[in-house]
Amino acid sequence: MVAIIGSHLSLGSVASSPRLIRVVSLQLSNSATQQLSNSATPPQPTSIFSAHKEHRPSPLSRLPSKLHQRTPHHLMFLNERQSAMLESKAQRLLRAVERARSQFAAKSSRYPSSIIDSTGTRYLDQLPLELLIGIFSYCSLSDIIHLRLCCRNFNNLITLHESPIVSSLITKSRPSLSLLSHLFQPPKQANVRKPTLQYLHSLQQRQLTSATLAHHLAEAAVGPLFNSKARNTISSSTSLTAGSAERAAAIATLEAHLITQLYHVDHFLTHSRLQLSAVITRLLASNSASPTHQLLSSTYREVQAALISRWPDSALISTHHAFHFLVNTIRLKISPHPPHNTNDETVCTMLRCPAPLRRFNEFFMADTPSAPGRLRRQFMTDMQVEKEKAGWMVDFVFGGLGGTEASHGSVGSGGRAGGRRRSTMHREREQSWSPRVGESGVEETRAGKA
Amino acid sequence: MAVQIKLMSSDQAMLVVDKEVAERSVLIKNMLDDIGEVDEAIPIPNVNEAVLKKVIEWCEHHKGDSPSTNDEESDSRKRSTDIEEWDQKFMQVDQEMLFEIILAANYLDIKPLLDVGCKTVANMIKGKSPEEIRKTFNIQNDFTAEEEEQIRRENEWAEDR
Repeated sequence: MVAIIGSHLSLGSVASSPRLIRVVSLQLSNSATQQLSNSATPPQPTSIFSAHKEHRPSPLSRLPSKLHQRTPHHLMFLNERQSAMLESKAQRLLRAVERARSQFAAKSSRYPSSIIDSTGTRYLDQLPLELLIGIFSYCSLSDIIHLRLCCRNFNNLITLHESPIVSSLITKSRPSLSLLSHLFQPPKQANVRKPTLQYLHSLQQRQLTSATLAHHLAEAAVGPLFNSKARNTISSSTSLTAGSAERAAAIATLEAHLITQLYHVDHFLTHSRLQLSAVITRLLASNSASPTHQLLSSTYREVQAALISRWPDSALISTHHAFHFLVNTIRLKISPHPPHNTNDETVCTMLRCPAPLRRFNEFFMADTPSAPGRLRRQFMTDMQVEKEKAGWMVDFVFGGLGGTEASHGSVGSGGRAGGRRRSTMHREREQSWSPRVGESGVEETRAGKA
Repeated sequence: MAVQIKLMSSDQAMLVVDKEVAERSVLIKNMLDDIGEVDEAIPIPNVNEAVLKKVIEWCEHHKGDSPSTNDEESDSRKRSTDIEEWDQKFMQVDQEMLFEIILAANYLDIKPLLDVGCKTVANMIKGKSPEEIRKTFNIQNDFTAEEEEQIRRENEWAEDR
């Protein structure tokens, strides 16, 4: 009892007018709200309905917590006379609270509170900002776009709070995008990394590409095993369905393991390509003479080392194997009969183009026997274009310039395969020095390094 | 016998609940921790009787939940907007009540209930066109045709899948 009075009293000493009490209780609910809202919420919650927050004097915002801390100390030094005084003060305060409550009730019926609109039918866009953000972060990207198209409030809100919403979308998304967002960091805005909706979209695309490729690879690896099995057993319809279920399960398992490794492969290919272009551009800008081949390959080695040194040890070996698996699966697919290296040039081109994993997917799509000829032709034309674009880079990265032995080791994760590739790389092409810093630009390269 | 406490709703209704149940609310728990034993009813000025009853119903059903398993385990496995069956039924209320529950959960600091509420609303948004969302939540389209077209154009990148 005394405790309650005590806390009332200390409240009362500050909140001498009904209006103040209301403000304090508003602040109470405010700070509770703030505490609750997830970490993604910006430090200064602003209501989208600024009209509803006219009375929130900021100096009072810390009052409640202070009061809480002070109360017990006060109680320790109470004597008889003081407690009698407190009792009467508390009575006065309780009456004041009652008055305040009735005034607040009267006021809120005149002005709709932020909770319920006067029409009583619109609720969603009346919720406090942090709750709306909380709700939006359970939606998908396309839902967010649709919310944007709903009304001005939502569009403004999503524009203003894009990165907290996206951050919490990334952490909540299934399948998880955390690893991908770690490997491919969000773009910088004024030197701060801010995940945008477009960035989220790019992550989802990467995720989808990796998952598709993982599926193709798993199918290529597991498929033959089950085909030979099926040939050996007498094919009855029951064993066939059982076999196909087993096959699907095996593919799914392998696929799940491959996805994260392909994230790393994607990271390696994309960033090594961009960073190398950036380094070469810098070299060319500072030096009029073409850099020597030796310099280039040592630069490339540095770029590679810097990239993979940031990976955890557990990722290194598995990614190395996944890389081999990927390259060799493709080589066998392109040249099913020995020697398997007759089309290595195409493989190298695929590895060096801006979206290598997507190219591999296109290859698998075109390579299935049922694929229409149109797909194959499209793929071949695309590869021809890529070859011309990436030509000099492929040559030098995979050691096709007839250059030094030093380049041999620079093939990175694909080291062993690289040795074989060298022999068939054609060398007649003129080395054209038109480095392509490319569409993603130096900024992203620098971002990747930081 | 379990310790009971009294709660006073905004419309002056007195509700008696087990302390354990009421302490699903972090706000109430902190308050009780601070002031110790109380005979007085604790005023909950932002929540009316109907909503408070509903919230207490939820707390009673979930009083045994251990907070850690709730967050870590199921969160990493389940899809983000999966809601357990009891909670789904619990949330089958009109929109006014749904949003009042969310606000109450927010005010009383009951995170799992708040999450369920937010997920429920998110599920009402999911897969709907802008027009359907407006209809569901009775939102006025205050864009001009040009503005709407512009936003559509600006967000075209999301459509090519």
